[in-house]
Amino acid sequence: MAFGRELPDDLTADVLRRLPPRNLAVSRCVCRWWRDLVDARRLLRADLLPRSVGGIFMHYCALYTPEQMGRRRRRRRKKKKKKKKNKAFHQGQIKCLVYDPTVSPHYEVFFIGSDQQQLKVLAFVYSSVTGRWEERLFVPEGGEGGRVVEEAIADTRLFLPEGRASVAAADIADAKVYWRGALYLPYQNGFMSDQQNGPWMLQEINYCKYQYRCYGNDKHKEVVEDKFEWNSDDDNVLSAEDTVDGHYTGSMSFLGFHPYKEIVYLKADLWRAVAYHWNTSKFQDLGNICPKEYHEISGRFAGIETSFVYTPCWMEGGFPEVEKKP
Amino acid sequence: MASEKKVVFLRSSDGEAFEVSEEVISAASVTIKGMIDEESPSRADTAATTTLAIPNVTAATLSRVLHYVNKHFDAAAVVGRPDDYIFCAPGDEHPLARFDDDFVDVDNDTLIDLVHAAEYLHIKKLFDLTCKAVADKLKGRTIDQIRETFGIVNDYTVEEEVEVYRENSWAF
Repeated sequence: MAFGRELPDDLTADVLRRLPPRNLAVSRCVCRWWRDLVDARRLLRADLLPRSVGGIFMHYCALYTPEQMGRRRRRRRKKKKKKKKNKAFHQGQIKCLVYDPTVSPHYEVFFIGSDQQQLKVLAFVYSSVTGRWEERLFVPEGGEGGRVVEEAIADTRLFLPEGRASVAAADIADAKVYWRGALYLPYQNGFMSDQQNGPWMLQEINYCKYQYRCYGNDKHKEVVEDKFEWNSDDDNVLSAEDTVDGHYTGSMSFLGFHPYKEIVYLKADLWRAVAYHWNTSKFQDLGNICPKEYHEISGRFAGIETSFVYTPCWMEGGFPEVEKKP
Repeated sequence: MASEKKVVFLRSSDGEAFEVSEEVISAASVTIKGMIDEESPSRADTAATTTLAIPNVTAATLSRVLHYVNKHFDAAAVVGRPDDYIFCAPGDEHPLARFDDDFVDVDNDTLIDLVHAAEYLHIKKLFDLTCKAVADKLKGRTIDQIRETFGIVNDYTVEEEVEVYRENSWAF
C-alpha cells in the first residue's frame, strides 16, 4: 500500500502544492527529498503565514475607532473602521467572519440568532466554499470543563462553558474566537471566574492610543517604545513558584487565541489584557487595555464589542471567490 | 439525419483496444487531441477508424480513465450543466461530486497509476482530482503516519531533524 518513490519530483510537487500550509509544514518534516522539493519550489512560504501575534485589536463600545494593543516598532496608521449599526439584526445576535489561512483560504460568516430552542443553537452560516447561506443547528454534547456543541456536517464547534444547558444569545459575550477550525463563544461572566490570581509578569507595553477627541489627527504620544519585549514566538514567562492563593472575582472573557500556540488572550474587567498559557498554566500580563477617560465617555456601556488577534500575513488576492468545481 | 459519430480506438500498453468517441476524448485529453490532429490529413478520405497507441497506460488504468472521461466530457451523458454548479438548487451538490469521490476511492497504486495517466494524457481535471486525492491522504496525518503510508524512510540526521522540526513546529 505504500506510495514509495513511484511519483517523480514533478508529480510529488503537484501533490504537495495542493496541501494547505499547515499540512505542508508537516510533510516537510517527512524526509530530505520532500523538504528539498518544498524549499526548491517555494511551496511553503512560512514567512507569509500568520504565525506571529502582531497585536490585539479591540473595538470598544461607544468609541469610534478600534484600539490596537501590541508592539509598535514602526508607526503605521490603521485605517479607521466606522462602528456599524446593523439594524437588520437584533441586539444579542452574534456576527462574525471566521477563517484560518493556514488551514484553508476559505472563510465562513456566522449569524447566530437569538431565537434558539433549548439545548440547540440555530446559526446562519455563509461558506465561501459553497457560496451560499445555510442554516446550521448546533446540538450540545457534554464535555469536561465545558459543553462542546458539535455539528456533524462541518468541522465547526461552539464552545460553551459548563453549567449552561441552554443558550440565550444575550448571555453570550461579545467576544468570539476562531481557532483551528472551531468557533469559540464564551459567556460573559461565566468563564474562568475563580482563576487563581497568579504572579503576572508585569511587562509594560504601549498604552493604547485614544483617538476619540483627535479623530483622524493622532497627536497622542506613543508611550514607552522599547519597554515591551513580549514576543509571541519566544515567550518569557516568569515562573509561578510564588503563586498567591486567592480568587479573582471580576469578569474575564476572550480576546483571542494565539495562531498556533496553546495560549489564550483574555481581558480582565476591561483593565488588563493577559495571556494564559495552557501548557504551563501561567498568566502573563500584557498591560492596560482601558483607553484613557474611557469610563467617563462610555458610562455604563463600557465594554469591548469585538476583538481579534492580529496575525500579520500576506494573502494572495484576498479572500477567494466561489470556486467552480470540476 | 445526424452524421455518425466518429470514434477512435486507444490501445493500451498491454495491447487492449478501447473505443471512445473522438469528440469526447478530444475535449478531454490534450495529448490525444494532438495525436488525432496529426493523423487527420491522412484519414480524411478513408472511412477507416484510427487506432492510437497509448504506450504508458495499462488497460486497467485506461478503462478507468475512459470511464471518467465519458462521465465528465460527454455532453449527452452529463445531466444539466455540470460546470455551472452555482445554478444547482441550494443544498444540492455538484452532480459529479459523488462520482469523483467514488472514482478516487481506490487503493494507492491504482491512484498513482491514474495520476501518471492523467499527466501523460494531459487531462487537467483528472490530474487535479487525483493529485488532490493523494494530497488528502497526507492531510491530518502525523509525520510517522505519512512515512508509513508513502513508504518513506526518514533520512534526516539527528541535527537536521531537530532543525526541521523546529522550523515547522507551529504546524504540529
